[in-house]
Amino acid sequence: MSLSKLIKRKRKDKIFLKIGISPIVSTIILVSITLLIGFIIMGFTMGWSLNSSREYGLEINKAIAQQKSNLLIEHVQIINNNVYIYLYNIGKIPLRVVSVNIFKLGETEPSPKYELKTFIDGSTLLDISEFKILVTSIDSSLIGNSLVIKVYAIASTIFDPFNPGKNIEWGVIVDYLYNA
Amino acid sequence: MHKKRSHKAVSNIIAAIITIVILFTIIVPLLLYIQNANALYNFAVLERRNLDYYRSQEDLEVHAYEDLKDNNTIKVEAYNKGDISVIIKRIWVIDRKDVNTKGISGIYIFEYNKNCTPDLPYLLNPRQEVVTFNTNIKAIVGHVYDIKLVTERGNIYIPKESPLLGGHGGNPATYAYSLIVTIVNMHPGTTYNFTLVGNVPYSPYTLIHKATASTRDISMSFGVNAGEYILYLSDGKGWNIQQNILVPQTLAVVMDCENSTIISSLEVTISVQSRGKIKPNDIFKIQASIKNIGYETINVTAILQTNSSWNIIQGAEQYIEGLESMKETTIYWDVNATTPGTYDFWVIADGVKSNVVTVECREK
Repeated sequence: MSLSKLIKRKRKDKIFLKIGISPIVSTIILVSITLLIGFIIMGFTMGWSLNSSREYGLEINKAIAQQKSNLLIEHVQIINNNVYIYLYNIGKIPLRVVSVNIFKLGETEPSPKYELKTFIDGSTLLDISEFKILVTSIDSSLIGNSLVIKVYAIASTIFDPFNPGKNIEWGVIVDYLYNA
Repeated sequence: MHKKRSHKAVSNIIAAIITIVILFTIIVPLLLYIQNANALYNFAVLERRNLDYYRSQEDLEVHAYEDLKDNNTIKVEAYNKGDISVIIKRIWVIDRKDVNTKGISGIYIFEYNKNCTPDLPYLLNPRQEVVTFNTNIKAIVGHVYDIKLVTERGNIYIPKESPLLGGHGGNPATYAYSLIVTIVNMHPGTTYNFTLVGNVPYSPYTLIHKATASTRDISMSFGVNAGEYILYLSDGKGWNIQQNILVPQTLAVVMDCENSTIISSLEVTISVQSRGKIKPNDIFKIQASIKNIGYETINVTAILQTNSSWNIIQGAEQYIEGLESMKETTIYWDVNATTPGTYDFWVIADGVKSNVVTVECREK
């Protein structure tokens, strides 16, 4: 190929390159890519944000429920193998009792078993300012001893009926010393 | 050149716009939400703190008594000496004896519309006049009542008079007399129950004592007022005894548990009465002092004993009848020896051995 032909060819190529993609198309492509990346980031951020706010909201709800939970054991009476526990909800939220742990004074507390407790009136909910009696049976070996009675309760708003022990760390635990 | 720069800036501007949109539509609402949630939590914490603070500020003075002028009904007095109003929610009266016999019915809880005058809940303002709640429960003699008062904020007040003794009518410190009861000759190992019953105030109403070898004779004290009482004593195995007591005419009582094995409490000492040296066939006296340090009058048999064949003229055994408590008596033995030597004498009175005296009998 002669030199003149080669120069002509290169000029043609240059012209082709210059006129191959218009500035508008390239701008559209760039904007599209920017928008795409932007929407992806926005989607991730939104998902993370919603998830975080939901989780945070749930945790705050539990913490608020705990702050509003308060319980008082007014009296305990043991008749035969039955323990009558008189409970008064002095908190600002309805409660559900999920465990009653009774053990001898001075001994280590056994692991509590979580199950929804029913009051003597057949209900499971201790409403605000309500006063109810809970009856639970104890082992005969405990009778005649000074006992520690621990009641575990959870705010009804965070109570899980399928897992009564769930959220117990956000519940309220009150104890009562029963002198033999 | 100018056009090229302008086109490149479009995507930058769009990116900036998207960033700002993300910031304002996602991050800022998230922060606002968190702040709002925190505010709600802080409000709940504040509310709880206020509740706890106000609960700690409640200050009631509560007393309970049995109104002797009003059919022996139990009454509870409350005075708000604090700085905040208090709502009295419930009053408890727990009859310990009734609990034992009838179960849960021994508990009387007074709240709204439950026969308490004035009705509950009751608002008690600071330094308001003392309010007397009439529970309309008649205190039964010998029954013990636990009383407590619960406020709406969750404080429980127990009057210093609780447990209240039925038929008591006031503070234990108001008893006029101490009734001393002495119980003797209890069987060691047996647990005895003492129950004092009367129609006038007294305390305690029951006592339990397990007798041991060293505590078979005891004295106990009951705080009483003047009146008639009956003291019941039983060993829990069927044996029982009772004693009517009139206070103050009869302040000290002795009750015999009929334990036939009476171990005397005696102090026995002996000495020899002689002038100069003792020679064979000399008659001299051995003196024994016997003191009854027990609680009752007893008959004592005293025997002079020796480690040799001395001649005890009137016999070794002597009988003392009716030796009263804390009284001492002296008895003598006339003795003589036929052969010289050194001899020991001692006396055994109802199993109690005296000191040993040594007598030396010599030829000239």
